[in-house]
Amino acid sequence: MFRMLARLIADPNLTHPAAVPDASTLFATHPIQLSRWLEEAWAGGGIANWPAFGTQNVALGDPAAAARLQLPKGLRDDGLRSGVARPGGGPVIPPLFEPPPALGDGLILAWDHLIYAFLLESTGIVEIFAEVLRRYVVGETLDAPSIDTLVWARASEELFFRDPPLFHIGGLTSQLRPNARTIRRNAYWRMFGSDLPHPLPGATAGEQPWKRDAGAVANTRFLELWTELLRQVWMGIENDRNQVGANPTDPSYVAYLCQTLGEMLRLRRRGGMLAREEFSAVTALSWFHLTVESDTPVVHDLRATAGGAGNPADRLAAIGQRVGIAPARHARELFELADLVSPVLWFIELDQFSTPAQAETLFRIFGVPNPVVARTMIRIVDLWQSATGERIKDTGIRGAQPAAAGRAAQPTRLPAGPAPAPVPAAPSPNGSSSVVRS
Amino acid sequence: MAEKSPDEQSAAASAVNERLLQLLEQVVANQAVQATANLQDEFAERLRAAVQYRDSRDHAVSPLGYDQLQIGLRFVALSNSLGRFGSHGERDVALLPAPQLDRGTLTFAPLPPDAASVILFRADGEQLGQIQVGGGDAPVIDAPDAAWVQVNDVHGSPIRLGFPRRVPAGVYARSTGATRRSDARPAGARAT
Repeated sequence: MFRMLARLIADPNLTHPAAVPDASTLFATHPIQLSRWLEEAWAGGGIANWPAFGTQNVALGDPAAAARLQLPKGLRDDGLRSGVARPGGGPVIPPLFEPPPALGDGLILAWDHLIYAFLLESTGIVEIFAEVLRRYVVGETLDAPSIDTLVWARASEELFFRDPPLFHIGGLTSQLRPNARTIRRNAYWRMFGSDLPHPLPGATAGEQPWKRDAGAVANTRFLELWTELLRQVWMGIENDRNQVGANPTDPSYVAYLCQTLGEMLRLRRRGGMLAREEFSAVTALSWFHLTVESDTPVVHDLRATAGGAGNPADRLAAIGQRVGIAPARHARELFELADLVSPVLWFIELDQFSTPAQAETLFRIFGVPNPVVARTMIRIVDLWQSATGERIKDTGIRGAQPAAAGRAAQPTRLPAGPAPAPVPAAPSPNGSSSVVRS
Repeated sequence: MAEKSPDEQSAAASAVNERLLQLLEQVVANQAVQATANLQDEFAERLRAAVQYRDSRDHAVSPLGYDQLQIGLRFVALSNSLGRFGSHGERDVALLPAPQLDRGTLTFAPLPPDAASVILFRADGEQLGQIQVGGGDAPVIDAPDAAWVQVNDVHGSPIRLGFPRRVPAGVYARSTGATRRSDARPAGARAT
């Protein structure tokens, strides 16, 4: 959501595709305004409010989920307005409290699927920025931040590392579930039957309360079915121009896989379950994604710039070096996958690929003027194969499937996540000795 | 469709010029009323033919059906709505600038150059109606029940999706002539 807000600051009506998101103005906005803007975005209903999907739209599990969980309209529009809008003369820093309508008001904005947060958090981005923030606020082992970075650090801490304002949509932590990271892991486990590749900071080995609490309902077949879908889609793409030989492409099977995945995901959302958790997770991860998406003031201060065409993974790796945490080896793929897989899974959940004719759009590419869906799937296959090592394109090679009875509680993992790395030279701007974190 | 050779195109252009010249001579010969009407008809007919020829020249028939193309369009529109407009130098745009819905009247921003029709849908997916438009038009339509609109091109392929945006009313409405508080930049603020 924050990446969308940065875009809206630059292009309020989403009419200029080439507009460059204005991360600087967003990071300079007061966190209470950002928190309230999230309330307004939630009230918009996201993809659940998209009329183009007709009556099939149960994106949040229940059509009333957004409306019933939002702040009452009068309260939201009166004393709790965000004031986040684009001034007539263009954005300024520090941003002002603007009269309504807020940015995005009236537009049907969507927020990302939970898979976006899962894939991004698998890079280790939260752990790295948590350590950056900790160092900024408790000591001077990093270079002194600029005022812009200081404001970013304050907003990051307020929005994601403390309890949100009471009664707000992002307020998930409580006496019953005090740790936001555990809440996210619980949601990932239930939806995707998978865990982040790195351990929960501070947890003792083997302690995984998010799995225990979920019960026996986790979608442990998700990754297996998803990988099979990618394999079948690739087969379809390979054989799209095949006019003479035997064509193993099976649109019915592709549709069946999509239907099964959709049913599996929708099962976890019944009655609106996980809607708030998803919203909270994707907003948090989009904040950190935006931080490394360009050479923001934070990236500059941490000496991790990568240039205009640079990759977020390169910036994250450089920042990780400053604080002694290496991101996942395949962070580059995971960043791009997060963006690509999110709309695909929304479509699968909304039953948009569940008939053979619909499923054909996933792999029909030859002769199609602008085969965006198939092009997206090709890229996903490439990246997924590179990130996970699964030989999706080698249809003759299948990994041995363990017997269901003997399957571990954690069947499949994404590639190895962030690991402690030796800190080359933690900056010691005040002249004291370098701090080495093991 | 078969390509016309340069010679054929040149001959066709010459024929058009000759015909136009004849008509202009009629005007000069005080047959103004009838000739002007003929001229306008001729222009319209030739223009239609030229547009059809131009569009059909590069148009390959897609192996995907209309419903499948609609799925592709929705997919790109959703990606746009998530803030993504393509990557690696490619621009994928399916979202129409939101038409303004004010007291039942939909006002569109100028449509894409290849727009040929606008289809209006209710929230339940039922089609409300279809109007013919031209590229660059900014139609104004009475459609209080329209929940979303789809723009098709001259081949009938869906090319844009739009979600009407209700014009804020009441205490939150901005009058266009009013001076906005933020127009005055405070001391210390910097432009981005």
